[in-house]
Amino acid sequence: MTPAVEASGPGWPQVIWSEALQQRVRTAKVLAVGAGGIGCELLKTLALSGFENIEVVDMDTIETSNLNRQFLFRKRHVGQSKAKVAAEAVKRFRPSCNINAMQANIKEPQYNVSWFKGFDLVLNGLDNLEARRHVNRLCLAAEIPLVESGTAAYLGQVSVHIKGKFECFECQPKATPKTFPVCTIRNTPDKPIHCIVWAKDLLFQRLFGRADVVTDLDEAAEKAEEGAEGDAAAAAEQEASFFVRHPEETSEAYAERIFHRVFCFDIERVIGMTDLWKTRKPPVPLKVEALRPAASAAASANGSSHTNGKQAAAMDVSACRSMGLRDSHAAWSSAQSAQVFLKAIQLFLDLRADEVGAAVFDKDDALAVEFVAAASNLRSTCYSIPPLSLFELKGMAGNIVHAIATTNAIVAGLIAVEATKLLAKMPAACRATHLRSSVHTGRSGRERVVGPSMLEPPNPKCPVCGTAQLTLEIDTAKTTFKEFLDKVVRRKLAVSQPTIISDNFMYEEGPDLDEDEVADNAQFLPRPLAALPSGGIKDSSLVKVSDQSQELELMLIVSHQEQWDEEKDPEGFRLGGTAPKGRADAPVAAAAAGPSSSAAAGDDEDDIVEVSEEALEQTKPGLISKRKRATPEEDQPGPGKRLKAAADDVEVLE
Amino acid sequence: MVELTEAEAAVYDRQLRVWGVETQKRLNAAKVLIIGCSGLAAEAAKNIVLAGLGSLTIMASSTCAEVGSNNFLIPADVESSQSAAVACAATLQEMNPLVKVVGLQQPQAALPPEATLAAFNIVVLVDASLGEIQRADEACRRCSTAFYAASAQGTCSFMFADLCNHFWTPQGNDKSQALTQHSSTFVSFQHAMQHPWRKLHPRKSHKLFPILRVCLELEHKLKRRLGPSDTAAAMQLAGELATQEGAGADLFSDALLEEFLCGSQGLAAVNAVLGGVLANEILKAVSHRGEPLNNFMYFCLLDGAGVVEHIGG
Amino acid sequence: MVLGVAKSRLAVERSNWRKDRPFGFVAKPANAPNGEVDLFTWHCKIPGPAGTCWEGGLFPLDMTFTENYPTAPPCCYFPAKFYHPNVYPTGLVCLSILNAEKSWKPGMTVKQVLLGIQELLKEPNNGDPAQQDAWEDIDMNPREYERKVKLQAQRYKA
Repeated sequence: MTPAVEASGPGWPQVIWSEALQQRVRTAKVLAVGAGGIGCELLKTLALSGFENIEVVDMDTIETSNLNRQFLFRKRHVGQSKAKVAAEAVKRFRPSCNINAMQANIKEPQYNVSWFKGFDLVLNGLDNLEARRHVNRLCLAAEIPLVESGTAAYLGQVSVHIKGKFECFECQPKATPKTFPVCTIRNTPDKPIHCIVWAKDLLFQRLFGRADVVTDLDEAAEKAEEGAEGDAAAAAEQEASFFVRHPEETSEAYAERIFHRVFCFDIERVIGMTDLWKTRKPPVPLKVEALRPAASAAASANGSSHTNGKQAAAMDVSACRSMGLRDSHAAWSSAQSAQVFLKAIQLFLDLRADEVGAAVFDKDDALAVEFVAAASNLRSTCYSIPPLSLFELKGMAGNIVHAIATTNAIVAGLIAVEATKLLAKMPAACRATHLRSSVHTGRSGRERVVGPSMLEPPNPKCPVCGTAQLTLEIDTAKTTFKEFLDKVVRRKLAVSQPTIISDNFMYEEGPDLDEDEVADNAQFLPRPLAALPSGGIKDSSLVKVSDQSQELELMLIVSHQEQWDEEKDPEGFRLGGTAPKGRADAPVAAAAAGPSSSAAAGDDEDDIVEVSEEALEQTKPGLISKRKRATPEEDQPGPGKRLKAAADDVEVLE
Repeated sequence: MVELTEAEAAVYDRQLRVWGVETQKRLNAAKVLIIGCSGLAAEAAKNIVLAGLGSLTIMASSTCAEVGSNNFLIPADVESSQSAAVACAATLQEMNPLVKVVGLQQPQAALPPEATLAAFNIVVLVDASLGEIQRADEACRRCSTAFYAASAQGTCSFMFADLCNHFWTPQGNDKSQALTQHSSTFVSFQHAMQHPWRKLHPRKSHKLFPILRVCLELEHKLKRRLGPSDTAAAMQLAGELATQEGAGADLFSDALLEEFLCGSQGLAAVNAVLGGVLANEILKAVSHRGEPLNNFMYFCLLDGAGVVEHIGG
Repeated sequence: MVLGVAKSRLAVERSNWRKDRPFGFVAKPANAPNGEVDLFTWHCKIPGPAGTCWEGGLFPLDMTFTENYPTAPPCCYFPAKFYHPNVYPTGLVCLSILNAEKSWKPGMTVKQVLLGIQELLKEPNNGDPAQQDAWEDIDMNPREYERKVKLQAQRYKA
């Protein structure tokens, strides 16, 4: 192993000028996840900083709205792969920088632990929580440092994650996307977003989406219940098919019927639920007739066009355009919302009939957005919520990110700085950095707009990185699950009631299980590891092992090994690393185990069950030393009680 | 003001959600001059062009060969004797066809005449010497043009703002009713440089500020830009000035001074950070939306912090 | 795939349930025919509270979790058209402890949720009407309500 650059040399940032570090930067293998807003800036800055081996992964293609910040792309690139175009663009000003571009989803199975191990660093430029979590876990398993980042409007942040040294990305709870209770959406909305969710997930779905999906908009879907009398049954029939267009019904009549149902009839019904309005203002129904005169006046003023015959491609169809409503930033009047609502339904039925019954909402589908916007505004009007403009509604319905170039540029610069510190083997110099959104020097006369802070040590209770990790080399094609349980889990790891989880495979044991459950679990015993469900346990698999009878939990990183020397490893497998001993009474299996274990009776002072010396040669030095297992929870000083304020924590959510 | 075109609405969608249509229209109508075409200039230019700043002019005397490979706007295979400013402008124009970008080759590195400066809303001087910064600021003040200076040297960087008297309304929702006008007053670079060191706080004041003063005076003495070989002379001058100003020596950081004189151009990461903050300020200034930075910002890798400091008011 | 926050907690929930489950209840992650287990979908059974017209029934309930659990609560579904004033036509249960904006706490266990739903069976909530039928009946025709509940308990006999 090459010694740290700074062993006795320059500190930070002087080390940047050293030839040794520059050489390391040139040869480092870096994975850049994402080639979008942060990604483009990052690739550019890395290339200019002397990095020459970069792998970039991004599954998206370029869109027009990217062009205000993803500066490596041009209008002619719309529709092409972000990763590939970005790589080509960087090559043009830095030919010496080799960027291997993959148009793929980082969550695909080929990007496994072994693959991640091929990199010196992983740098994230992602825009969704799910992918971030995924990369975090793989970096932990592969033990590769990760630099995370996020931006939204003027806010941004960068953090560094090194297993065992700093918090992992999931040590602190992350803000998750907001969900709303169904009651609020259905009966008591009080914000525009409630109306948008209603319009998008309920009404749009009911009118244009799959008919077999029951939504909470359907009052009493089918009353096929035994004992329902004639009238009730007939009423039920009517209910079920209400939203279906009648055979001879014009699209215009259908639209009006729907309008009446959702903005008048349903509203009147909800008004009748008097308990709801004890402390709230009840909604007011809308009559389409009252809005129609204004609506048709608005239509003739703007010059409506007939929709007979085919127009341009389905996606070009627009209710607003046909009505002459051009300003997407002006909030519509009730009359205009009503008109757009009716028109949008008609256009869908007339020009996109083949999609009715299978449509899915897409923020880039102009007609769908117009429909949702109009429906949302009408519902808002019923509930005395101020209506919004098409521009705003589209942003909320489509979860559109607010984004500018400068924030991404600054954050990418900060990522490159942290990457350099990591390559200099100076983790102590690494920082978590936040961008503040505004600039006021205040009374003190000074303020930080770029604010670094110390990185925290890992949270011992973190469900992701708080678990001990061992490596297991074994023949996954020949070893049966039963052999694995007996030889590795029971004997070597001293687990008495094992629970095994690997991806979507779960095995349980214990006296509390009933006969059926026992039989269900037993069926897997004779199978080879690689043939277990959910892809099996094979090379690069991550297997969670816990003991139902005691507080014991650890993670096995499996690698497939076929060549076994009977003399060196008579058991046919090798376990590396240190396993924590359980707290409850359990046989210290190590003492009774075969010759490969060095934890003899004399080690009873240690809490650790050590594994064979030979196995340890393969593992990293940090795991060899004996150490006391983490003390019981009560004594644990918990992760510093400095929960970041929500404002500081930037999550660019989907 | 002219409404946004469909093309503009499509490309600018994501940033319209940040600052609104009104601000975008004001950006579209603005004219900015950037003097210099280093990596830092490239960053700032890229950012404001993407934002839709209506008219950008880049002026520099360097050729592409002289600029070197740290400017990502200049393709590697460009003719090395070509004007760097022209090459940058070409790339920028492609980056955003909705704005106008012009590159002008200066015959030598001199400040354009005041008449030229007066035609712009903002003049930005990038990676110039401290003496040049002072002269440029004076010229801009005389023709009431807003002025920014920004320099990055290795791991250290700073920017200076002089908007004379600037009116602005707070940032926030475009539709907000409370559009109260505020005003900020700025001091000249010269005035800032003469700020008494006694008034600086030994711990809290940023250590780069006194270094700038020292370098300004040393430049004046040596009649040239400074380099790493001037470190010893600078340290000595620092000590003398400290005594003269009646301030403690702890106001000074030798390590930071060395870092500052060590690099001739900014590291890519430093350019990216400073260029981003600078661009944000330019955009705020032309749109008169948002409190302007008044008046220094420093970003150094020594502590990794970007600090805004007010000097001289 | 390494377990994440949600899955780890769900594994713990399953482990704790096995150690200490209320009598008569069932709660286990769904099994697919190919042997896979979905920790994010649990098939549960709730016994009707003794001494009420729900008695004798063992009502099936699906509990679905997302990656945002335990910050976000699970969704609980009885069979579609289940008869109860606070259950939507889709079977979705409307209950304050299942509402992130009301009483849901990330520390709440599966056991607490199931017991809470069992409680709801015998004591519906006036403030959350979720279906026309049971809602009207319980107010205007309590004998009819009781009859239908008993019929339902028969249908889902233990």
